[in-house]
Amino acid sequence: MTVLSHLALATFALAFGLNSARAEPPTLVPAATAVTAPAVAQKCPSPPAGGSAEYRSVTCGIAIGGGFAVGKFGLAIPAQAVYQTTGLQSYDGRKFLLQWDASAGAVGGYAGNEHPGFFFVGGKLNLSSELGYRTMPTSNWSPYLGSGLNLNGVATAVVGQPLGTLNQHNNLDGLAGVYGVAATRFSFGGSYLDPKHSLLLTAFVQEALRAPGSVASGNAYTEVGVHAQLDVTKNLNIMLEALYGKTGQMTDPAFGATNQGSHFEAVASVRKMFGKWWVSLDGKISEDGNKTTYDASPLVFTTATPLVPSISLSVGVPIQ
Amino acid sequence: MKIKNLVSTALIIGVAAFAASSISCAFTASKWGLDAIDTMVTPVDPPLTCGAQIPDDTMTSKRTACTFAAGAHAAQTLDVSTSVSNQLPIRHIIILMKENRSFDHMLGKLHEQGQPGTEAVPPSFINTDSSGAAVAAHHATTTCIPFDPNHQSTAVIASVANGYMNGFVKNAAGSSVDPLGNPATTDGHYVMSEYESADLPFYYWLANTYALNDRHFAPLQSGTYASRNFFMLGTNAGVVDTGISFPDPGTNSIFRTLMTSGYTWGAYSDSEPFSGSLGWTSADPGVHSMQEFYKSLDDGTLPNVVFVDAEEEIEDEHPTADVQVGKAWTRNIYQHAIKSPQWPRMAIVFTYDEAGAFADHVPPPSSCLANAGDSPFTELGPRVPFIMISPWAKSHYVSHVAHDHTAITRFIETIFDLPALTSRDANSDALLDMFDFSCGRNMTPPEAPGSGTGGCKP
Repeated sequence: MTVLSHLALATFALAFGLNSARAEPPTLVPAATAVTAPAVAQKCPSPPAGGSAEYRSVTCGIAIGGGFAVGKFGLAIPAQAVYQTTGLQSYDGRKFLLQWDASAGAVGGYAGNEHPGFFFVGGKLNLSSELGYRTMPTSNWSPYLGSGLNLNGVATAVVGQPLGTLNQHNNLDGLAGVYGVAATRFSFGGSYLDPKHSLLLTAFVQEALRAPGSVASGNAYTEVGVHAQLDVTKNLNIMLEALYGKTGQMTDPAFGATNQGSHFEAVASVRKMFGKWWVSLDGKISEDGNKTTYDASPLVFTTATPLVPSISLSVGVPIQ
Repeated sequence: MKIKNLVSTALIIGVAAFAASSISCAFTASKWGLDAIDTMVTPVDPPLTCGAQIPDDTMTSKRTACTFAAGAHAAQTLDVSTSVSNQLPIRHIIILMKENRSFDHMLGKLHEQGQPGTEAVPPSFINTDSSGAAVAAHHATTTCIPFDPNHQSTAVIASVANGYMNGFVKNAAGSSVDPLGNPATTDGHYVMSEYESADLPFYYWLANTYALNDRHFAPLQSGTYASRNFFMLGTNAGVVDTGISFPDPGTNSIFRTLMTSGYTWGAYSDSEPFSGSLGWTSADPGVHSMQEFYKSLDDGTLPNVVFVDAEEEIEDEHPTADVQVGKAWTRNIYQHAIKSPQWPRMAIVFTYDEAGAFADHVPPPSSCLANAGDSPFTELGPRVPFIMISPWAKSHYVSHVAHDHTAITRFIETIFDLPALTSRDANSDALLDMFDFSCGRNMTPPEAPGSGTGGCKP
């Protein structure tokens, strides 16, 4: 199956969802009488809300889940138990929009990239947030400018192995081993807000520091991408994002060569609240490439890893 | 509400299908950017010359100290200048890398059977089995050993046992599988078995006729993938054990350095090239069939560097294959090679990728870390057979220079004046003590004995 067919499939799913949503038109409620968020969400720790006219969709709790990942590192079956809070909240009469997704907790699993495989256990931290400015706060549709920060790290140990020997095992590119990404981004696009729904469509440019992977050395990437975040309802949230970036030109004097790395990734996430608990399904594909040009040769080597897919399903229990 | 549930269900199915169906992509051939090899033309060999003088090696201590880094040429690390490299008559190198046999297992009787210059297996070399009984080296009763011991990193490290070399039998007893890959019941004694000249007449003849090295070690204490990566990339490239993990295609390689200097290479196999360690298939650039190999060999149109891999677990001698079948395959290549128009410009490196957890009595030494930040695999693996077959190879010669597969890499780099890939090959020797490039050498090889006919007979 090609990448295009993957995208088509995802697009179909998204389109189906949007069309279905249209089949039950959202009730437009004047801002002053907006329905507040569910009681569960109200108890989540989050930035202080503005007035009742503000949009607020917040979840928090303990999320337990597992998944499956394939990559140049091999196979992994990761699991996690984290405290997670996600939210989208407006301020100052819907002039500002804050979105966040933060989690911290334990990860573990089984990596099948060696023979025999091994169990790993450790911790992870994720902090993703963006503050945006809606230039037309009184309108449901508004141009949007935002700035965000993304910190993502994981550190794991191999069960039964001394800490000093951890680098005798393959790095798992973010699923296990020691890995991290730090990125700052600037976004622009459009924001739709009504009391029950939100849609944020943006394009962005970001600078990302990616830690060394299973082979590649750590590098800074300048990346561009598109991001869509849709609250079909406050109980059904969808996020889609795709980005592509490159490193700067890096000289390799030992070989008289110049290298330039590239990174592509697409992520999709669907979260559905069912009363007091939620189910979240997350998928991701990524690909890393490199272009090497030798000063003394007309040959250029443009390489790419196989697409690295991962998928995880988690169940969250809100903290009441 | 019902519609919204349908929405969420559709979305979840969509995301699941999106990610799950991508999984198949990860197993396709990697994109190594080597497409140009299929249109490159092998440079015309310069006129055959003789008499090249290899300078005395004064850099041994510096290499032992891991002084040199990636990019270093033989002129810096071996005192072999470009002008000397250009005088060397070899312009076609064939790498025959078989699977999973230790030196003692294959050639343990060579000291008594034709080549006293090799180190004999000491009578005191024993492993104890799980009952505490001493197991000494003994004659193998079959060329079709029906077991395959675990030979990945944890197993080989346990077998080497910090240099005591006494964990092989217990490892085999606890980890062997049968020809179908199912756990097998065995006392593990078979890993102490040895073949003799009568079992493997052609291999013993090669070892007695051409130049042999009895200090050639696997590049790390692990399996096929990581071992072969050292040879092609100068590093294990993040791969620890054999499985489904492949190097990043962006890793610098001997393929690239050859191509950027205008030299060609080809990988020939009717199975997986490089025993699957790169994830390549017959569709990848530079990969050809064995039929094409024999034709190029007969026609004298081989590329500069040739990698030949036998059919897995049939001709490659990986247990539980019949060694005699693999030997016949090797002999067939040899017989074609000596009749090839390129024989006077040829060197055939015959070796095994790793010892496969078969016992060897020589504790492996340490070597250099390939790249800063790499997995710390600086301890070499157990010895494997290593024979240099060439009209320029010293006859009935035994080299005791300790090295690993990156010496093959360094040999290629020296012949074609290429930069080292990593610190590992930069600090390796280049096998040159196994050659005599003086004039007047006899280019006509002696008659080779038969190879045996298989059938699991000793």
